Amino acid sequence: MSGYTEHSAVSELGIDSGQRFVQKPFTAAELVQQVRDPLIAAREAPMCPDVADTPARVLIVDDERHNRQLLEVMLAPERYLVLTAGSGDEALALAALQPPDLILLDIMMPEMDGYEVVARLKNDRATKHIPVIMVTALDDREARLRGMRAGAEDFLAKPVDRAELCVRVRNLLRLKAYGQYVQRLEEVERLKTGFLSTVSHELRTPLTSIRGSLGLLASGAVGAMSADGLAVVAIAERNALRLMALINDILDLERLETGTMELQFAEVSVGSVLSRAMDSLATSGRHGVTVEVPAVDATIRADADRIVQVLVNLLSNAVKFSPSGETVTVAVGFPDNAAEFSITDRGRGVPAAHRRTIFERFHQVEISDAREKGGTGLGLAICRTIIEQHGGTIGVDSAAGGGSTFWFRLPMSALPAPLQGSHLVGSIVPS
Amino acid sequence: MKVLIIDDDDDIRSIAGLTLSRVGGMDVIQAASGAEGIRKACDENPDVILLDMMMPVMDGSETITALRAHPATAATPVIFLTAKTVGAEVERMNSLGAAGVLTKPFDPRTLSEEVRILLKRSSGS
Repeated sequence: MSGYTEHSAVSELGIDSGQRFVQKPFTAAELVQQVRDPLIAAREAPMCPDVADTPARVLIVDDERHNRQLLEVMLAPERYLVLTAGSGDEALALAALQPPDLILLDIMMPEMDGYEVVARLKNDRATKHIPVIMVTALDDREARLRGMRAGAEDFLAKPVDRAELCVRVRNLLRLKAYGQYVQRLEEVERLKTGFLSTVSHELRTPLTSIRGSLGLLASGAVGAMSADGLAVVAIAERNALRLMALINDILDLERLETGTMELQFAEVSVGSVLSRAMDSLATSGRHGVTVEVPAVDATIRADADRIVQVLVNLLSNAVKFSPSGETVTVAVGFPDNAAEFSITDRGRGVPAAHRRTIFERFHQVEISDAREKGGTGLGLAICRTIIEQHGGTIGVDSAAGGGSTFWFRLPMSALPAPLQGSHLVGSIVPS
Repeated sequence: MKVLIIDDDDDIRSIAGLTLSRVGGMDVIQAASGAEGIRKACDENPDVILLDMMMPVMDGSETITALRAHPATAATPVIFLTAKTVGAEVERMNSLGAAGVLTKPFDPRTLSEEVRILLKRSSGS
């Protein structure tokens, strides 16, 4: 008789199973941390246990004691935790109590033969995932087929060759580990999706009431307000919108980085993405900056919505940082089988020390930029993530004090149609 | 125009209700759950239903499915008013037979107009 004598391995996902909370009022950094931590943990947790930290448990089932001992000796160098059972009943009881990682199962046993044991194991939800190698003197095709049909994963004929035994056991243990790894990945994916959805909902719901109340006050629908009162309400509403933009940007970035937001690649007209970006800009632009956009007759393979998001981000930055009356110029070129978009402004420029870090989260050239220019500090990080997920690159060329050119380059899956010049077809002067 | 707002959040129901009545000049009925919403939709026969997606017990998907299955409400346009903004989620809501999807937080100055536009677009399609 034998049984388990050591601890069981406990599967750890490495992520918190409980709820996480952000204490109000929270800073942007705290919020980001609360959103990121479980996602990063989830991303890093499911290491594939190719070589497990704890020894695998192998159960040998055979009614002959010397057969059990022989297999135990053969497996000794592998340092498994070997358990033994002298009958089918005993094997099923052990497997139900604490499932082993693999079972070596004799076929010809009294009372309950190996076929019945394996069938029962595979019909039980708790034990069906345990790989079974049938070990028997019966070396004929029918016996192998019957064993496999009953659910056994592999077969070994007596007399057992030690090297073959060890290789087959090792391979099946590895396969089982990969199966568990995939299951953990699926579980992590479910947790990530659920977490993002909950954060999104729980943050937006109170903001809906805040913004709605302020909007009603500002509209005069619930009574007239003094000029000072309206000014105060406008400040509150502007900041509610800023918080909303921050939440949207944080969630966008997390969805992109964790793969929850899958890019939808398609053949996309360059002209249409430029046009859509300009439409978005026209509704949000301000302070009299002209934007010049070229006519481009070409197609790229990209996620149109995400490329529009990048263009709107870069264009609105360019407008924000341009002096009133200046012009922002958009250009599109096709160097080295890539599509290159560039947005040039006449703003204050980006100092050399910031040209790489400006694409990192919450990095801004001037500490007051987020407040004065109304940005979240995440826009360029989102742009970089989107462009990198397209297999492209993004950067900025600038001479301090002499304007900036933000550019991104997307690999072309096919050669573009000939470029029809880059003459101006439209411009807007955001009011 | 008579509008039924189904949302489990009391504050959002109040704000949306005030918005649609004061700014949009609509008659507003409210329900705090999917079940109450279905009952009121049958009794009051609204012109449009604004439906929250994430609600306890009976969520927006189950509610719209039940509304579509009931003869008295099968043809009533339903617009989701939701905090969910991911493209795939919006597509799913549209596929449930919604006339459109409006996202939270909404702008009270434009909400009633957006509802009218969605209704017009939906009846024209």
